[in-house]
Amino acid sequence: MVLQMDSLIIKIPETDTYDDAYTKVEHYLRALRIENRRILSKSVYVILEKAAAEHQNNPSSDIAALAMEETYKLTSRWCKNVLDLPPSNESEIPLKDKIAMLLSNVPTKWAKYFLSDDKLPEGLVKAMKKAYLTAGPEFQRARMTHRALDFNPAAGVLAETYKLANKNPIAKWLIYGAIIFIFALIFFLTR
Amino acid sequence: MTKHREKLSGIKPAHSRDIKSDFRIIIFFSVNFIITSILTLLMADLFWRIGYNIFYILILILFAILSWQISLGITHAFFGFFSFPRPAKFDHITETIKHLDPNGPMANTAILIPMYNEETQRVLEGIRTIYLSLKKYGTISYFDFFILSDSTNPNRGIMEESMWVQLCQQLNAFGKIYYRRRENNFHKKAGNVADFCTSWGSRYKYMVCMDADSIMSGASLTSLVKIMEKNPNVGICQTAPKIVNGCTLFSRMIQFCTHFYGPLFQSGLNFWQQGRGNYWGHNAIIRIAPFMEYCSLPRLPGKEPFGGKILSHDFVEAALMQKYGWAVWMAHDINGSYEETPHNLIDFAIRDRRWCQGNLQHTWLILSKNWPGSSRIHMLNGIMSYLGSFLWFLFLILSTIAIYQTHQEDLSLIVVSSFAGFIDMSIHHEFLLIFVITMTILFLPKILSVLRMLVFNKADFAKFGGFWKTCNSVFLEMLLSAMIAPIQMMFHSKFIIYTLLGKGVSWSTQNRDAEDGIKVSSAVSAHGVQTIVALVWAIAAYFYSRDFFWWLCPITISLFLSIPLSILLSKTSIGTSLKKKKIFLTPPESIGDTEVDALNYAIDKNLLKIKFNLTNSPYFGILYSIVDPYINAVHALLIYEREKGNPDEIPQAPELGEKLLLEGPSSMKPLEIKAILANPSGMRWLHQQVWLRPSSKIHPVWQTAIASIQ
Repeated sequence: MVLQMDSLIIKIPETDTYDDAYTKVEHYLRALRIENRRILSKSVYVILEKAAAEHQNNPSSDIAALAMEETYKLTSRWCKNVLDLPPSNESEIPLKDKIAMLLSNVPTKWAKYFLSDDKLPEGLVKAMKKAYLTAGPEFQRARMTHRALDFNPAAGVLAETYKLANKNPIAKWLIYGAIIFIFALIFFLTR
Repeated sequence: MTKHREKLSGIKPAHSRDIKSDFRIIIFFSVNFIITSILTLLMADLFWRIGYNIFYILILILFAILSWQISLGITHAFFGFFSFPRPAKFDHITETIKHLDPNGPMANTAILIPMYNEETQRVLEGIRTIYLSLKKYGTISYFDFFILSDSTNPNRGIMEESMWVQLCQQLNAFGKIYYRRRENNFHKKAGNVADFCTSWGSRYKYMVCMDADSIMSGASLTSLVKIMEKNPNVGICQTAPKIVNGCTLFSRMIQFCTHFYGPLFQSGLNFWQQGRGNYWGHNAIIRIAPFMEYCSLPRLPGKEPFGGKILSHDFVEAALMQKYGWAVWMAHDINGSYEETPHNLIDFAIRDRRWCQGNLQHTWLILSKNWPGSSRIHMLNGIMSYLGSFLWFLFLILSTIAIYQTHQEDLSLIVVSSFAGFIDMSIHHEFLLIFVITMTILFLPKILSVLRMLVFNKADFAKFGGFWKTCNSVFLEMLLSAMIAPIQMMFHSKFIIYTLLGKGVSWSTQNRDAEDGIKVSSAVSAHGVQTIVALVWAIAAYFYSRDFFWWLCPITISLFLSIPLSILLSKTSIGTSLKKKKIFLTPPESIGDTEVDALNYAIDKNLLKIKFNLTNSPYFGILYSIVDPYINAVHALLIYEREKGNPDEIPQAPELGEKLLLEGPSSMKPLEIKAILANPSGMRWLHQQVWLRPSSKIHPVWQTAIASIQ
């Protein structure tokens, strides 16, 4: 489907811009957790060659950007091939495909098949198809309705006074004043 | 109220309110009343002999309230001591499952782990420990885990997402461990749990609420479910979590207390409360249907700090359960329930600040109609655990004023005879007697704990380092707690005053990491005022009454030394050194505990590896969630799921996306970063762009982030 990696003849110009593109693609594949150096460099060369071919058609474009576009495109196609789905938007690796790669341990367990069109092992296909991330089981919506507090008369008066004090600053200071006055009165009367 | 219970479960309940249970309450609080009365009458007699004035009346009122509070401790210890060896059939809820078939009925249970900016690795390793313990016990199939994040820090949020995926991968636990983060953490922890209930509560029969630092063994969780299955009238069953992983002097001391003194007090608590217990907010199992029906928290009148949202929701939920006929039990004898504690006095006070305001709000509920008496007692106890400190402070201040007034009047003290004829002693001896009784009330429960072990479980001393090491630990604990008490009194008094003045508390995260001691500047800032107060107080007391100065010394010395004491208590090196000498040793350390050991192993071995090399950057969360393809995908997918969006949509540039790329995250306001992180399509677009654009056309921070993913 995508490419035959072992039979590639790599023709990439030796310029600084290609070095930058190499570094960027390598970083991206590392970010995808591809850590096997042999697979990593092989994949980078495959991508860069595709980018180089594209660059010949469109010489004004940035080679690193082209290489990244190819990375998205090839990875996306490879994922669709594994998942047996029709190709879709290739300007990015679709979200669910990326998650499937992560959850089925493609970078560590199945790295040698990454970007390869060799016959894919059933385990890989099964793992990729099964992998899906969910934050929780299906919602089973329900309601929790609170019951109002039922105060006794004294507490009811207190609650209303407190609410009033919260709403009106003048009332609040009047209440403070009244409390201080009562304490002062008790003090002077009992001295 | 039992009709409510029948309505939900169709079960005709064995009424939790029986004569035997009422009798226990009468006996318990009568003893408590007698102890309080003895102390109060002695103090009243003392004032009678020297002549009453307004200050003495106020002091006596305060003393009576405080005597009641401190005598509760010894009453619990006393009843705990005598009920300890005889777990009668209905004394302990765990007795009901003792002879059950191990393969007996189980039910679907959700384990909830609410998070709020806590140390991600520690929390997730706790989940691994519980998961593996349940798997080993063979009951994992009945349990699902829900990480309910309310984290507001983008770095924490991103760490949580990526570590959750990693943990699920390592345990092969997708579909067993779930993660969801709320966009808006409305009503804090209570709202977080309520959100779970309304979304998924109907799928489960029970939920076990955990704290971020809780761990429980598979056996203890399974026992809790079996208790609930066996006792269909129980709404909540609370375990008594013991503290583990203490490493500083302070945390090791608290840890020793929960292991050594805890069982005695809990046994006493269980004696009187039976099915009228309390809920402490974590390490407890809850029957979801009645919880959803009756435990939605009401709003209190007015605004915070006294009104508004209920902060300490746990007591209220237990009270609401009981109000509608459901029993709340404490399964204090279930082992394998653990939590951690703040590592120093300052962090402990920060946590107390939050609890203080929450507990003071309960005043409204005490004043409401139709609440069970036992729930009012629990709430009153909660209030008094902070208000008590303030009342002690007032008591001491009033005593100082009374001394000053006596000095100013310059009259000689005319002592009359006691109104209780049988007290034939000098005024000084009577005062000394009150002091000795008070000290006995404070310290006897600790001695009773030693006696309990000596009489009933002598072999258990080995778990605490042997008899003499245990005695040394108890002695050191008494000394340290006596020194800490005045400092806590000052903290709590400050919190009470702040709350009364309407200064609310912010919802702060506990610092669960211990370094080797707090900084001197932190100690000075936290205890500076206490030191000055102690100095002024001591000088004033020395000037006006030499006797009073000496009586006040235990308080003023502790306060004066609060800065060095706080630093010493926070030292890991001292904690470790004492551990080597078997001081403050606890059973999980001496004989090992599978779950605690597994947790510590996982943390030591760093089983959750993070590929973030830029964690020193204040923006590493947003950097990696944009640069890393997997973190970006997980983050975006979780938002799509939460908001029922379409993950196949074409990525769109978010508002301020260009600014973020060109000027870096340091140019953005926190709210702008939050908005970008909440936009899944924008996050995908940013991921594309950061990799597609030449390095010269994006801020250098992106290039650093790209290079740092190894």
